[in-house]
Amino acid sequence: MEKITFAGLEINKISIFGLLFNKTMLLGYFFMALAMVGIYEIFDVRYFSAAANAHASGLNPTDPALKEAMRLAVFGDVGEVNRNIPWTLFIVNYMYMIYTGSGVIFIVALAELMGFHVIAKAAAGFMAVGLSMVFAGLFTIATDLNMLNMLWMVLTPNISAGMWLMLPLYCTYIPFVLFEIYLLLTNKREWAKRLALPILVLSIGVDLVEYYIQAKLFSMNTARHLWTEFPFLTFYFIISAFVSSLGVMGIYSYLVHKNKEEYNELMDLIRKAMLFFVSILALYEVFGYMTVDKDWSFFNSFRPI
Amino acid sequence: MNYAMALDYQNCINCKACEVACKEENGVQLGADKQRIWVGVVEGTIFGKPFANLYPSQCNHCIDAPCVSVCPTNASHFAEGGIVKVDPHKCILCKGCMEACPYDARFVDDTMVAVDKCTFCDHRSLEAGGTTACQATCPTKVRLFGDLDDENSDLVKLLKTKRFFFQKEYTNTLPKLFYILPDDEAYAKQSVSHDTIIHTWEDIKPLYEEAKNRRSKEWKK
Repeated sequence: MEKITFAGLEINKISIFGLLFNKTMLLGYFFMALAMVGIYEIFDVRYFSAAANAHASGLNPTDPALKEAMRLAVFGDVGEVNRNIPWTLFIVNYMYMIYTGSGVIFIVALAELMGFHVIAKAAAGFMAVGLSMVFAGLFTIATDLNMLNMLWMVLTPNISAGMWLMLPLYCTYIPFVLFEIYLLLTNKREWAKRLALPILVLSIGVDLVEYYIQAKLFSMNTARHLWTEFPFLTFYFIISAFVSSLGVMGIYSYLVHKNKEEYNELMDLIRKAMLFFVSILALYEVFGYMTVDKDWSFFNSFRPI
Repeated sequence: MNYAMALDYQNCINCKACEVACKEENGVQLGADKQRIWVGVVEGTIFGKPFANLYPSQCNHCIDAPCVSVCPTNASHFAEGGIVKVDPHKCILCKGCMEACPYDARFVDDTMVAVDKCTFCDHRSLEAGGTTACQATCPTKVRLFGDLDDENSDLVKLLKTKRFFFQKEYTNTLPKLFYILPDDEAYAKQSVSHDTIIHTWEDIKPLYEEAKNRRSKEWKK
């Protein structure tokens, strides 16, 4: 296939039609259509559902919209969340995507640093998958938040809040990973070789900071103590992210490297790493539950069935 | 100024006049889940004898409020006298404050698309002789709003003569809802758990004064 060279990168040359209409993009369009339906539904509930306050019922008691709002208030659910469940599937998806995505990037950086030759062959692909998942997580959280007031993140920031620290974190993290992918793809160039090691070490530092900030954010969550009061929450997040990341890396390897010579070695490495981290995670979970809430672990261990 | 509230919960008859008054006074969203204040009910039996305890509650306006610490846009903030408030125009609906609050005192107001909570009716209670709508409407005088800094306030006078406790004190947020221990010993025993810490004004005052001095720089005038 004809190639275009751009800033040291060799890119396949195809037509615009070929770029937009192919099997991969059609699958992408299908998921984007699903996302649009979801966004429509959540925005409809959030901004256009019938809701009224106590004053409205006094000011205009014959308003049909008020009638619908009162019917919902008595017999239905008003709005997208209630006080018992303020965080919904958006947060679940956000956490899965962000943690798994950055976990993939973290694992690849670690493996490269430790000199796994087989990883180096697939590193850029793995990192692109990881970054895509990070973007998916950020898109999810952007849908969950009220973007109309997002400007206040900049105008009146609370710089010690974990939630706010996410903003500078991803503004740093994403360009960093993009640059890392660029270096991997152009590693034959002399300056890329020289920069590779310091960037790799820095990226591991950035990954650690990321998980620390995530732990800072979720450790304030007093409502779900079994989830968030684990000892050394940062490391718990890292290990659990490694487990889900290795799962994603296994699927990616099967889809992309199945017919290549490095496939067996790659899968063997992923399998061993998965077993190792699942074992650590299991021990961590047992230790965590017993430490966080002894009453809960006693109840679940010895309750009559 | 350091505003707080005492709750003489042994007087509560669960009439819910406070809940209705709060909704009307503050224009709170309609719906059972959308409440700034509420009456919690705990039922049980002791040796076959049934009982029901009523715990009127609301935002505790904690001095070390976790909801304020987690808010990324400072929409949750301390207003005059340490009252914890939300600026709905700055709220990005991250709902971190709802998760952080140990008392589940916050909810999403769908008419404003923002988190809402008790304000101690600061639009009326801070005026001379003013008080909160829930206190004004309570037929059995459960609630008493006042200033902890004023030794001559009815609130401090009451706290000096009674013993009291806090809900979920183990969360170390320094809440400002003082639950007055019932005079009747049997009622007191059935309404507090074995690990509840009972306080007097003399033992708690230095702690709250120190905390106020530490955090009051953040309180908006």
